[in-house]
Amino acid sequence: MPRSYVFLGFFFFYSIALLYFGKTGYSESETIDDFFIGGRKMGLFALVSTFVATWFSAASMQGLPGSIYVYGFTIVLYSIIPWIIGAGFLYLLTPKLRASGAVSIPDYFNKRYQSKVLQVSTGLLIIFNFVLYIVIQIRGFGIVISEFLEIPYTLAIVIVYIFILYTTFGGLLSLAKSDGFNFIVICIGIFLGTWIIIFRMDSLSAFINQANEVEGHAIEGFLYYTPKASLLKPLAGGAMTLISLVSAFFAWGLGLATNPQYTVRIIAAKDTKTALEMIKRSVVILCFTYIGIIIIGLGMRVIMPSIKSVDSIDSVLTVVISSMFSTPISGIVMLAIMAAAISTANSQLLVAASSFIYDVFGIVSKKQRSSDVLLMISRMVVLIVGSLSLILAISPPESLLIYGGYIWGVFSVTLLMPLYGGLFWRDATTKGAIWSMISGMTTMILFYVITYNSERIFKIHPSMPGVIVSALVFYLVSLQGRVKANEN
Amino acid sequence: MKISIENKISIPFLTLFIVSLTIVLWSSFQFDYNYVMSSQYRQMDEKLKEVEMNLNLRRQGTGQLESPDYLKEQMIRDLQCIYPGDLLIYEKGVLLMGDDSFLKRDDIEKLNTPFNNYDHLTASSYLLVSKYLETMDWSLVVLVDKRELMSYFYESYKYNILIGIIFLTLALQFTIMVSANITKPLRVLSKFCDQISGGDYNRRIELKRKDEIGKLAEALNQMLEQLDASMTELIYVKNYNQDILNNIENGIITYDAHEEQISKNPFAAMIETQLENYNFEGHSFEKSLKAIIQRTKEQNLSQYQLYRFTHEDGDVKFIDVNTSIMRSGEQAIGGYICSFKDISEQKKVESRIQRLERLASTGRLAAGVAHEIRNPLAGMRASIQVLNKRLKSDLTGKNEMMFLRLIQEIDRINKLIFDLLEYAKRYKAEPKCLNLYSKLNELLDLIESELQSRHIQFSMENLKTDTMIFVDSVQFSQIVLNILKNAIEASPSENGKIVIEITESEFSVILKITDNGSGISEEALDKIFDPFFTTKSEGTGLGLSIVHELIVENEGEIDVKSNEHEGTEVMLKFKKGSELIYG
Repeated sequence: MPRSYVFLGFFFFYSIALLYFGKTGYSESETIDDFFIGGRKMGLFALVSTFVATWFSAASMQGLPGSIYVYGFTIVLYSIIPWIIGAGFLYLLTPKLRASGAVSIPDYFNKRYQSKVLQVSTGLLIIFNFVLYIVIQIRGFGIVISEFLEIPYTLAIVIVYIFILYTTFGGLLSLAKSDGFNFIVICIGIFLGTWIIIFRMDSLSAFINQANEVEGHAIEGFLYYTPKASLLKPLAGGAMTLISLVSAFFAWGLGLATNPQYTVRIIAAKDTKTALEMIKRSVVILCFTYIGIIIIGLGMRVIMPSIKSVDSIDSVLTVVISSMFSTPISGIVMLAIMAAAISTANSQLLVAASSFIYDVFGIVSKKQRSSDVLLMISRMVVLIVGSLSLILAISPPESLLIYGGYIWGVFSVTLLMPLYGGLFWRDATTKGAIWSMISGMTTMILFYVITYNSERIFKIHPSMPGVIVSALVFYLVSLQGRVKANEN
Repeated sequence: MKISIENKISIPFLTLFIVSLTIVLWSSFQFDYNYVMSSQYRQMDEKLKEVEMNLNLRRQGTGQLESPDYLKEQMIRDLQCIYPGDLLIYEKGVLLMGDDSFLKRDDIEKLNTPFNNYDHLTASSYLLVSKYLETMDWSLVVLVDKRELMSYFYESYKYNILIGIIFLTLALQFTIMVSANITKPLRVLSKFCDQISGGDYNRRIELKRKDEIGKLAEALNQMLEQLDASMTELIYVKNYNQDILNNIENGIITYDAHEEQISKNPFAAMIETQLENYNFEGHSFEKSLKAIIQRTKEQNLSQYQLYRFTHEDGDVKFIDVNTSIMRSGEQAIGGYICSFKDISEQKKVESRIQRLERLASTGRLAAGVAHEIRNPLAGMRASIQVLNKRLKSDLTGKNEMMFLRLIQEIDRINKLIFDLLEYAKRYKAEPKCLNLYSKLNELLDLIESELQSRHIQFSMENLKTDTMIFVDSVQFSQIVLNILKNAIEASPSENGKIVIEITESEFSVILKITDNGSGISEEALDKIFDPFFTTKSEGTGLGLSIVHELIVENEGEIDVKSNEHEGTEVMLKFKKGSELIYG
């Protein structure tokens, strides 16, 4: 029996289970509020399931162990710690956001700044960003599937597309159920990977000694060279700088703090207490899974200090597990990667569709429609946005992929100040919000272009100057508006 | 396990689809496999034919010039060049060309069996085709690595499975959507029915459909209209009946066929509470009712009984009880109805009327007799006085005393006659509004010296300065003084106590005059208002009779309760004086 048939077997059973869990919630949505925000009556279990599964994307499952494999422990400080701090920001945001009664971030902007233009433009920005992000998810997942099942990339992404659409068609209530199943698959994959790595370790001290012995290029032909005894160092033996770490927080931490795929789950909770509890419990669960990811990343490097050329860091995990683990274990890890990608992509697809319905279509079209018609339109939007992402994912332009890598930063430079400033600063004005978004985005692009030719491996993330400028502009323009209002 | 209608629709379709898909995949697998194998064997046959033809051509081309051994050697060398690795040649079981180390002994023997036709054999991981070449005495064997062949097969078949999964997903999605759309109106109907069963009859379902479900919704709405109308009527009738039961001044208790109480109206509950400490022949009110219901059941007849319930303190309640049988079917007994009424007040009124009639007739008789006696008595008194004067000188002390006694007795008879005539004459009351406080204090002055001389403690409770009563002032004084005089006379020589307690209600004022005197015996209590009934040696027995007359004249009420050796309580009830009466 060929190896790809074992993977096919795993894939088949995963598909059946996913089809089952995705099916059960389909008819529970009777209104678009049920469809997009679970009727604002979701319980803790469903919320935690969907929160952690959405959080744990292909980036976490593929990119993170790959990056830890190449750069070492510094990646924990570069991405995981900012994410967790970002969750803290979400915790602070929750009571006020829920009290506002908004159904989305753009809707909140309209309520807070009385600007429909701001609502529609933020809605479009979210749709644009998420379409690209879904493209990245589909692409990453397509590569994994095509490698494991030894099938063409195009067929692989069609399968992903169908699964994503299937799980999204039932709305958030349905998605929460498939997310719960997906997260269990993710946990099993991580647990097995971690267990095997630990099984191969003699002791912790021996592992640390071995890690300190690692030296050289992790990937043949790859730019970064790991100096001896730098794998476990916070700044990776000098490759990482403190300013880069701080700048990463502006992208990953603040990007997470403003990401609509998390705020929608805060809004969907049945009450504020449940929403807060969801964040607390999810972060605890995620910390455990990240410990597993760190062990896998570092363990792979210690056991296999160097691998032959791969296309990108994202492929490291698949290459290493294929050569290190037996076929069934590799199959389960493959399923975990699939589960991570699907559970994140479907949430993003739903957020993109909800932005269109609530913040663009709902504002532009004044016609009264029944719940059934709105639900049908919502599903059509899901289909269109998903299909658009599929088409773009067949052969995505390089520029789109570069932009996709900065989407979290785009969220932080555009949404952070209007959202948090609006909630926590009474004097924030509409002009301040609009100009902070424009200036933040402009600064980020300019900084990216300026630092494009820098040879440093870890540059300053362009979102840091973007957020700083957007904050200053937000403050100054709002203050000016306030002074003018007082004079009048 | 509860299976929703949506699943009842989708599961059979899905099962059918999955079974069909499995059958298609399995049969296509079998078909493809067989096809691959047969085409492979065909190719191998062709190859073997080709080898055979090559050998024949070679043999014919060389003729007899070369030795057979040399020729065979040349042929094998040529074949090794053309078919390296996939051709075996045996001669009498001995391998001349190729490597058969992977073959089993049995397989090699089979290959060397002299068959003329192409023989297909599957051995270990190889496909083998063999043919015995009679002219050369060779067994030719063509072989192909089966694993390699199958890996190509699996590789291509994988797409069938993936396409199967894709179509399974699409079919599932389609089935879910179709079944959800079909069942949605049913879910709406079901939810609607839940709301209706929760009591919300004013709802109407809105399903703009013209199919069977639309008709069902329409029928449901019509049914609800009718139900609503019937319910309204039913509720009205129920409320109406309930109002009757709640407001009727009859206690009504219903029992089932096993004499278990089903319901009772508020009035029944009130009477039950009032009669808690009363009993009839040692039985409580509840037990008495049960007994009469039991009797109704036994005799299968409605019952009637007047109960006289008594309290420990002597109070009496008259309860009139009626029972009837509830028949649910033609003859079947569905239960019993017990209705009862407190007729104590009615009984009191009856007794008062009887007393009044008795007093009136007695009074009329006495007045007639008195009037007839009065004139002769006056003559007798005058004659005695004349005789006394005439015989004064002859009379000794003793006889003179007799004359005096005679005159005194006649005077006494006269007083009696006077009282009788007083009693018999109609008192005409002229009621006015009277300040009770001033009036009682005024009366108190009259009896104060007597109270002091007999050391009686006197008190008035709840007497307000502005309490007004509507009575004839003189007659009120006569009434109260008479009662107080009786109380003083009955009071013990030491620690005597008289209390006047005033109670005001909306329309009346009650004076409760209580003493701790000798009291009245139970037998005497019934007769105290009768003329000439007295327990005093000097009394005429007309005092309380007159009091009664005066009270009746002033539209008041009097009630006396007494326990012998403990004291007496006299309750006087008068109309309350008010501005309305002034007007």
